[in-house]
Amino acid sequence: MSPDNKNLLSLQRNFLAAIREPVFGDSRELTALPPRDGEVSPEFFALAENEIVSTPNLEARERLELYHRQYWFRLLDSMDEDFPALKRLLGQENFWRLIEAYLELVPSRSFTLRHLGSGLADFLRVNPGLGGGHPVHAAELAQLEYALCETFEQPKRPAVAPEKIAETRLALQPHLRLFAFHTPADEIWRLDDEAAIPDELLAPPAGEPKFHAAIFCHAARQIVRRIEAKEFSLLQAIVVTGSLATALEASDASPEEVSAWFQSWTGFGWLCEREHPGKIEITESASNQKPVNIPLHHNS
Amino acid sequence: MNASRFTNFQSLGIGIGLRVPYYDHILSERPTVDWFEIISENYLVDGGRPLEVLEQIMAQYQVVQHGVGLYPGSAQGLNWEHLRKLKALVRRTKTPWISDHLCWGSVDGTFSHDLLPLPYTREAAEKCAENLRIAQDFLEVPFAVENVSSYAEFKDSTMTEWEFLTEVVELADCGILLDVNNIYVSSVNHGFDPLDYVNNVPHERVAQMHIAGHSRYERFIIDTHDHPVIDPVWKLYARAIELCGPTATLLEWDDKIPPFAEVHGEALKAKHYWKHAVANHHEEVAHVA
Repeated sequence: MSPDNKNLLSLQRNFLAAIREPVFGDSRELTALPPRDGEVSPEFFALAENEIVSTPNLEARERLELYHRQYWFRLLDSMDEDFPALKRLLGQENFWRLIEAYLELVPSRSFTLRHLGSGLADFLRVNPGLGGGHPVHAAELAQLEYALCETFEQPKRPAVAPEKIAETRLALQPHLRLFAFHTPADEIWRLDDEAAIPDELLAPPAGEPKFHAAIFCHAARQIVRRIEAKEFSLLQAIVVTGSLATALEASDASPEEVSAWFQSWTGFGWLCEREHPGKIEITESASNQKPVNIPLHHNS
Repeated sequence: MNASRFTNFQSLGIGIGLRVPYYDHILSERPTVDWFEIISENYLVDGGRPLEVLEQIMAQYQVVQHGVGLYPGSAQGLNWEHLRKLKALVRRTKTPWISDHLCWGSVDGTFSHDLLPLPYTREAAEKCAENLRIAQDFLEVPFAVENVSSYAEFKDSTMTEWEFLTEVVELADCGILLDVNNIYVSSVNHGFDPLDYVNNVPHERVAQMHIAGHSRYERFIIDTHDHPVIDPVWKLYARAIELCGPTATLLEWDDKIPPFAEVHGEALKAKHYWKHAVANHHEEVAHVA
């Protein structure tokens, strides 16, 4: 890297650091962010003063401020669009306080805004004070809403025909996500925008996950579907073993239950052939919280 | 119509930006449109609805890729993972050329999601050209780089924006996506004559043009793509077409998106200027003969 290119890199680092600073004053009033005292850093002013040309219409600081505003407008809009149910749960002020804190500490590491909220659920788990009094509900709702963003861009593989299931190494569709929640996040998500959240849905969570849900795409729609705990376990066992017969050996589900579930799985095309035997990702909302990669031992 | 090595020797007419609100209309009504421009990054996905729709569109229409995330002005060079994904999409779409913006937008792995301005220096031009050469060679399709609208200029700049653009494309040996609206926006924000810009870029390298609307405030203009094209931009476009010849043109409309027919009608106004350009060209030929 030439010395001059080092200058270009230094300029770009300083510029990005400046526009990532929190917004205050007039710029902040143009956003939905709650009031916050303060002003941008001396480095922000120095960058404008030293590097940017003033014009008769705009001071250098105002020109840098245009980029500063646009950065925040764009990211806030994206989070607003991706987490409407979380906003309803937390209320405007708590939601925007959370989002601002998140964006300050967890900058975008992806070329696309679609991934901007990927760390929000984990951020809530390590910052429960930003959960508006319902940190577990908030984290699980964030996880559910981000899964909806994710499933939208996942492939749909050919479903295995029912008569081929016994002889096929099985996997679940890449667009299918299974969740074990401590809270009825799916029910909260389903409420109308204007509806108050009933108290019973906000009961404090305790113990093991009690609510299980599948999020997937079907007929160009994203669907959130409540499933039973035993159905959840059986699907997870299929992911790990690749075999319905082996998975059933460890299941205490009745034949009638399995038959009903199976009809639904084949109707939605959830079962497909395993493509890469090495790793399958299962996303759980349990005590370990994070997406886990389960190494599979493929025998074929 | 302009067909050159910068367009892969293909001539395209007036295009429309493929946007989600139009999916159903396009697939059900199959309107007559010369081509669709897609935002590459919207389709850098493993599957799902975006790619399903794209496949259906491609079965009926020519698609051209336009990017917002390559950042050829990045001092740290290009992101190879991004390039590999782009190449896979290029193979899928068979885009005749590919474009992205002359800007930077990420550093140390953190993304701004904006098209950020560059200092117009020889050093920045060389870095951009190096990145563009790598991209063009790797993607194996002609690359057209687009001038961005900007709100700040740097004290270190040693040349005008059009001199910088010219320097970059000649060093990289790539094409230009001339955004006429961006020229107008920047001319107001920085106080230069937009005709100087249009008159002085290397016209033979212009592979494609963009037109769009913007939002005018008291002291500056923001490039919002949420209005019809204003008359001064059409006049600038007319001059650009006069100099470059009829060139594949795309109307950008990304916010407050009106019905498809309205956007298409606005875009087709560009044809009016093409007729003039062709007529003038024939007159010139007759005069020389």
